[in-house]
Amino acid sequence: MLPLMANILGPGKVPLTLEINARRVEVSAEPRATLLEILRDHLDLTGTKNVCEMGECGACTVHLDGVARYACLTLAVEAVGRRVTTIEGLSSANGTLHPLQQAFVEKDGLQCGFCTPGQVMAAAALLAENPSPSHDEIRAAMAGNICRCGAYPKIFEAVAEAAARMKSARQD
Amino acid sequence: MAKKTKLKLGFPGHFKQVAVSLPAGDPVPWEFDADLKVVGKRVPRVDGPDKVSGKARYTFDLRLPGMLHAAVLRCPHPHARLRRIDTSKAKAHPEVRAVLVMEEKEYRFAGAEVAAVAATTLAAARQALGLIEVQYEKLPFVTDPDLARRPGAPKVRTEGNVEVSLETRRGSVETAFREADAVVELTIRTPVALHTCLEGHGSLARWEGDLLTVWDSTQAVFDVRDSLARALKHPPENVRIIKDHAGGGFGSKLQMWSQTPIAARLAKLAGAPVRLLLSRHEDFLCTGNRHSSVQTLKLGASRDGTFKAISWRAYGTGGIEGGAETSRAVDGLYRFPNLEVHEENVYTHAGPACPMRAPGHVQGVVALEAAIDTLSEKLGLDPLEVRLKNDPSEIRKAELSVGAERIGWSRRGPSGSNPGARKRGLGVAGTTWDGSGLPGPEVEVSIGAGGEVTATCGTQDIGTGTRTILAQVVAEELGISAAEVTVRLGDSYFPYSILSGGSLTAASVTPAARAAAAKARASLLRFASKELGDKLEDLECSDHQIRVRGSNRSLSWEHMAQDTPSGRLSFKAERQGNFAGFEPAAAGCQFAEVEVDTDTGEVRVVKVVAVHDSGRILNPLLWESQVNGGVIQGISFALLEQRVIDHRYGTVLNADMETYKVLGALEVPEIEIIPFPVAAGFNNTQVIGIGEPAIIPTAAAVANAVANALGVRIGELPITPDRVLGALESHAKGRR
Repeated sequence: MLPLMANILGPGKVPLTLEINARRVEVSAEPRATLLEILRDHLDLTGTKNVCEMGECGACTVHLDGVARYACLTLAVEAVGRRVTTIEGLSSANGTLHPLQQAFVEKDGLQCGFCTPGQVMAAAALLAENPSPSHDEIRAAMAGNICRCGAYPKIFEAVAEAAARMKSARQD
Repeated sequence: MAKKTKLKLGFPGHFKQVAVSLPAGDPVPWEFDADLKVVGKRVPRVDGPDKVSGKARYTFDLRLPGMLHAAVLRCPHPHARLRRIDTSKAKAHPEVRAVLVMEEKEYRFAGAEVAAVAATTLAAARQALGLIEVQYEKLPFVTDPDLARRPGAPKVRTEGNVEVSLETRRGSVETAFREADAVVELTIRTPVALHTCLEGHGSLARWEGDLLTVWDSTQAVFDVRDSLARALKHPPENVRIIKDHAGGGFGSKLQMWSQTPIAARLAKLAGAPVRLLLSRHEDFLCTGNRHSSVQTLKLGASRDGTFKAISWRAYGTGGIEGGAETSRAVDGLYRFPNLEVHEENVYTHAGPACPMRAPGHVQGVVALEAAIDTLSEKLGLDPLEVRLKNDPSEIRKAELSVGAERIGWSRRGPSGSNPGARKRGLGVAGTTWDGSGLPGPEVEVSIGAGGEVTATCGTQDIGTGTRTILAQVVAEELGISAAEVTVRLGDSYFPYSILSGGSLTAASVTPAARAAAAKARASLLRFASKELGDKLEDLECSDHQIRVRGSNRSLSWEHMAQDTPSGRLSFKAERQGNFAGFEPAAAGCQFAEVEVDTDTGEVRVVKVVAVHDSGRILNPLLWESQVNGGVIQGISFALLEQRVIDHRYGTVLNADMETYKVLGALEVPEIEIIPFPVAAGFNNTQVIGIGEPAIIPTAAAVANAVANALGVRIGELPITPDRVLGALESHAKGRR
């Protein structure tokens, strides 16, 4: 549901308060602005990539309240009052990589790396919902993210490896 | 003086002493079974942490203070001339800072640049394009290559639409076909395909006085520098091209495209930095593609399957660009004593072709391997046996045997013998590609006052792992870990390198890196020997110091660097020419198993076995990624990809990622990769590139597996469900 508040209907720029990576940010943008534009052009959070601009490739995948969303198909106003997490917010504050990021590096789940932030975010949303996915569930969850270099086999390996490590970490 | 010696080249069971002439001063090649500590290990890519955390900045991520955004007005017609253009309203737009009209006033494809605008926001730049008033004179056009070949077709260039791109004759094909026991002829069509790198084409240009710096998404910083200098009539030494990370290329970023000079010229006009990033739609129209092909092959063989002759008649279109060629795929793959080639490039009013991962070879191997299967069937022979009989490569013959075992080739039944609606089939294809490298690249290895090691080279890492393998080679020579080497690349102010394409990079830059590191090591040892008063042979280089064996005396690199006036020791080496190799190029082969649903026409690739050699495998982890990528792009080409033009209007119908299909996670089969290490020769690291070899055979193996499953050859790629059902239907009609 779009929060249809009068103060964000425009026309012209309107002030928006967003919660991005657990920080409150104030931006001024037109109501037509996508979340992707806000992240990249207003906040310089360029880990979220702009590729197809039509919800086909997944390079702009972020989390909205923990659920994977294409930022190119999400209006910034839709994100008001919700928690936005980007790739920059996935690693811990001291820079330690998330187990998924670590597994992507170790298993080489990337080549040129341009789709990688989106792949990692899609995988993180999957593991949040399903901590022990089967091989088929991993493939299905990653089906919305295109990797032109063809890193898929190692992406699947990385996701499975991260799931196993996160599971054993929880049991420790 | 070159050093004449003999090297043990080959692979287990097939080693031989080969006379080579090693370049003067170059390190002696590592032996096949040398005990290396870093090279050959599964070292994760050094830029991995930056890429997985979103920290890596690509050209599309860069901003400069005061930067303007540019947009381009493109001709909507496939062929038109400019009658009148009025940019005054665009110029009057309050946010517009510069407007540029192109010199070229005749547009030869829908998407050609007419004018460009720089404004304070992208939205304003795009809005201003709508304020430019243009009148075009529409001209006759032709986008269908079959129509373009006909006499009287609208001319794409004054010399005519058809150009002979390749003509070769060897022996007498006429005699050989007469004497052959079996002759087959078939025609295979392949579509125009699009590179679809996820980072598209974009440039950010900044002038500081006469110095022009352009951050460009490119595979070739030096080539872009030279092209841009020529385009702007500006001295190349005052042009600097930078590319840190690139989001793919696959050949589409080997040359300068128009966005680079447009950004530079707008930046000059506006007196501010200008960023021009093409949209996906523009990228698909204007920045290259894989040329199409229509290949008619005639093959003759004797009863035992020995090839006697091949006739290769083909044409294809690269739009307004030339270069359509497919028959080079046969060189080194199979022996044909008699050969005749006639190839034509057909010009059409469509976006320009450019190299795309193994240009021409991917298309050519599809046709060649299809013809070999058809011929084998006619002779009643196993297509694998026929290949083994005609293959000149000892490496590939061994690879074919390994691969056949892994895919379970003995299960393969006669084509079309599979009962039921879901039919399985097996196919095989070979590859050859010369990625043994080129001379010229220079690498500088330096040791700083803090002991830190840096390798610098103006090469590019487009996702292949160049950064990582350079770090490994330098680390190996200096006795440290790859993580302790900082690699700086992608800048035309760095030491020269060639473009990153054609599987050339690893074999062209790592030997120079090794030579520079070897110089550094030798110099450190000499320095320490003098300083410590110990003999050279008693010293060893490791752990950032020179140690005296059997004592605790040592001298740190740090100390030696601090002892120089600059506080930095630096050593540069250039890649020397190739010496002899075991075989002329890399070999390789792939096997595919498919399942075809004859009710829906859907093809599913079940498994691919990829057996590849590429000399020394510097990093198996990254090497496997390259092979995966080749296989996946090859399947994508076989089953999904095709740029579609509506020839009535001459415009592309699927210039976006929704309707231009590429393979996704759900369609990826099991891929079994079998590395086949070879002491290859050629250069001091004995590496050969793997980028191209990995994609060449895939589509051919898949197409052959489909033909084996169905008993019907689909003569046109991509093998879509409608084509499968259509072929089955006409086959059934033919039988009735």
